[in-house]
Amino acid sequence: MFRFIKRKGWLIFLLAFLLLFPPALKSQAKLNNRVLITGLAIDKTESGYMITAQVVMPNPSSEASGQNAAFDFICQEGESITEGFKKVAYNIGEIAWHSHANFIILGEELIKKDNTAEDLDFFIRDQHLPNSLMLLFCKGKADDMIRKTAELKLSVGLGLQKIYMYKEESLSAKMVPMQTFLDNCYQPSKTSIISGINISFDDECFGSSGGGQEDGSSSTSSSGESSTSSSSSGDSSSSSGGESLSSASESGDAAMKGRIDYLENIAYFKSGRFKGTLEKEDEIIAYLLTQNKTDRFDLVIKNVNDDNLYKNAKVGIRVASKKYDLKMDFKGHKPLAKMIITLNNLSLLEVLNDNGKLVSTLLGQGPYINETLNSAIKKQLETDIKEVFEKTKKQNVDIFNLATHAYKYNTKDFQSFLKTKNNIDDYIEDFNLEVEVIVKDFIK
Amino acid sequence: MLNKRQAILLIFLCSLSTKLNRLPNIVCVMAGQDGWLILLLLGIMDCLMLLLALWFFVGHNTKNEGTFIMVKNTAGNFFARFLYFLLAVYFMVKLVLPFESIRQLFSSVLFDKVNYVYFGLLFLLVTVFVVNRGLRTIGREAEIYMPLVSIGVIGIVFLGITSANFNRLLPLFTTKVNVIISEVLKCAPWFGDYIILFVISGLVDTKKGDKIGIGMFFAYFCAVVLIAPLACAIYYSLYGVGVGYQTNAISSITQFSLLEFDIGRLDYFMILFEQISTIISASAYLYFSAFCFCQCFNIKKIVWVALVVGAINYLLDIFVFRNTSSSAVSFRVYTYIFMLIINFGVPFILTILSFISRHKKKAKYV
Repeated sequence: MFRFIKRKGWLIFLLAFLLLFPPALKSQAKLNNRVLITGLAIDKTESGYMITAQVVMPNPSSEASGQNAAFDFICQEGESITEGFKKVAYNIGEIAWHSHANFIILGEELIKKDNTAEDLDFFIRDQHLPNSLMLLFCKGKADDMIRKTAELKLSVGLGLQKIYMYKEESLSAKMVPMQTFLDNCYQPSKTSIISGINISFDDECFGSSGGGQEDGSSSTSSSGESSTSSSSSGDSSSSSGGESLSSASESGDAAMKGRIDYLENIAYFKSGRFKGTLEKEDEIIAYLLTQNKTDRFDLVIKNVNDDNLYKNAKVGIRVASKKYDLKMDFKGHKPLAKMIITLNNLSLLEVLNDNGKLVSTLLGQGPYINETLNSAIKKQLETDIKEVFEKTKKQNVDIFNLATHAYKYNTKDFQSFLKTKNNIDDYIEDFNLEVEVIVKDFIK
Repeated sequence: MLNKRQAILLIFLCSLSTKLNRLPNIVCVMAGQDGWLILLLLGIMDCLMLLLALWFFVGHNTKNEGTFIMVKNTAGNFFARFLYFLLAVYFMVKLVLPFESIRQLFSSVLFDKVNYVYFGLLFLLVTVFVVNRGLRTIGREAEIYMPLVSIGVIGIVFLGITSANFNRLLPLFTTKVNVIISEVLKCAPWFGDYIILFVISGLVDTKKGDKIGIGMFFAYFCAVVLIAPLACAIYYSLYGVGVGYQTNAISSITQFSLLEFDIGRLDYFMILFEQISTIISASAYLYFSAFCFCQCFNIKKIVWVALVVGAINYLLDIFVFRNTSSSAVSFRVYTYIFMLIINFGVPFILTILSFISRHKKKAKYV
């Protein structure tokens, strides 16, 4: 026995130390007291900022699959974002864990009045919040918008970032991580964008579908159990009592009513300051076509006309492969950006002539895939992209990040060009854009 | 005694271990998008020095002609002890790096409320325990955990590449030459693991005709020329100018890669697998430091020396390098000159002594 202890003394000592002095004894208790912040909303108020946190509150009987989990929203106001955020963490009543946060919704007033990059400085420095979290903006108050996420399916409301990644693939939005937004503010173009979000309700689809309950979406109100959303007006001792404003719906039907609007505005910023939005569908799609890395997406080509088959038609096409190339030419008097977009392996989906009649192309697509359609595709995309460029150029915004591209790939030429400018921030006024859309391989 | 494979794997793990944690962050903050070029330069320099170390190793890897005996016979007892004292201090300084890496990962990144006084003590006891078991045990650990570490490293690099935007590294060579030179010099503490070959010369059991050179060079090359600069390039290409806020590169590289999956942060498994190399390298550096002290002062029980050296490092960790964000920066400012002297001075001196020793041997037989 003594020999055993003598030979294995180290091992015994190590194991004893591990068992008797572990901070791990406390970790389970800490885990039980932990609540996850999955999303944040920030609004500008008269006295500072209002932070609303979307938290997930599992009910005592909930299982790992997430059944019976409920949303709750904790809202606090502070003179600074740091103060507001700290109040939210404390008023949750448990230990807030925000490494699972995947989105921040910025209110309209915040992005219009403040320098957004400076506001986000807190979040980029916080080591617990992931820099990969997505930024969104909304019209009106972000607090109202984030509460509407309770009306979405649980997995959607919690995982907005994934939804926007899917939307990015289908050319209806761009998922912009906070890191990317801030990094772009410091690139030569200084241009960043944020996608918008709007959640609307569609009673017709979901109003009476009693069977629409899904696991995870039916949740009982957690009043009395969780901490509440109390908006104090900036004082440091905020109360944690009051009305429960948990938006977890009481009936399973109500939780399914919300839907995220398909196409929402894109806000663009220069050096973190809001400059404007792309609002029209054509503008948004033209912009996303050049910036998203997706290959497969659908497009609607309008005003397709020929004397025979197309009569002011809307044509739906599917693109299976897209290549985007940007070249800068500094040889001329003014810098010229040449954008070349190659669309490959297209297929015709539908043709809607202006008499409202869908043309059946089932038996014979061939005649419809003609030079008229090709020209219409090129014309629409080239025109829309140039319009976006000219619109933002007037606001001194380099929406397509031409300067960043020029700095990376044509460094000397770009630097020589800048030396000719009195104010280098106004470089975009000298830039011209040429767009060439190449359509290849229509699948018949 | 180590065998050939254990020696190669041990040096590979030591050369890789601490280069993926704090180093990419420091270098990218100082040199921007050219940070990876600095690591590449240092890696190439290390590989060239490794060739020198291999030449030395092949000539003196016998029981009767280990490095200490060779230096003692050639330059005298005092010089041999002095050299080994310097090497002991060298490895003691190098030991700070894996200690800091483990501390930063566990107390800052993975867990926010770990009391490092306990955790660090446990880590110290584990490393001393491993040292007590001997060099062969450390070599066996390297063999056993190599597959896991490989999975970790390959997984991290692969996940990082899938979400990296390498355009951020352009344009190249924008950093001033004096900054690059300054950074190459100040990053010396993280490099120079070929010195281990000089110390283990005489402790590796190789058979006649065993070609250790090719395997060793290839493994070392992969670690310092391929993996480390690539990881740094991926790190900068993910974070751009915001790289300064991510103090731990290895846990930051994979942050963007698993966003669309519902599987949580599985990448942390790979990070933990990779960190096994840090634990092994900590044990190795502690062993070599203690071994060199024992050679210098004729001490027979290595475990007590290891305990003292480890305790000093632990106390430094707790009291001197308290702030994991800034400690690496201040550490390199105070130690890089000494590390440079050892990294280049010791191979130079030992090469000369080796020439003299071989010449003496030839003269003796003639």
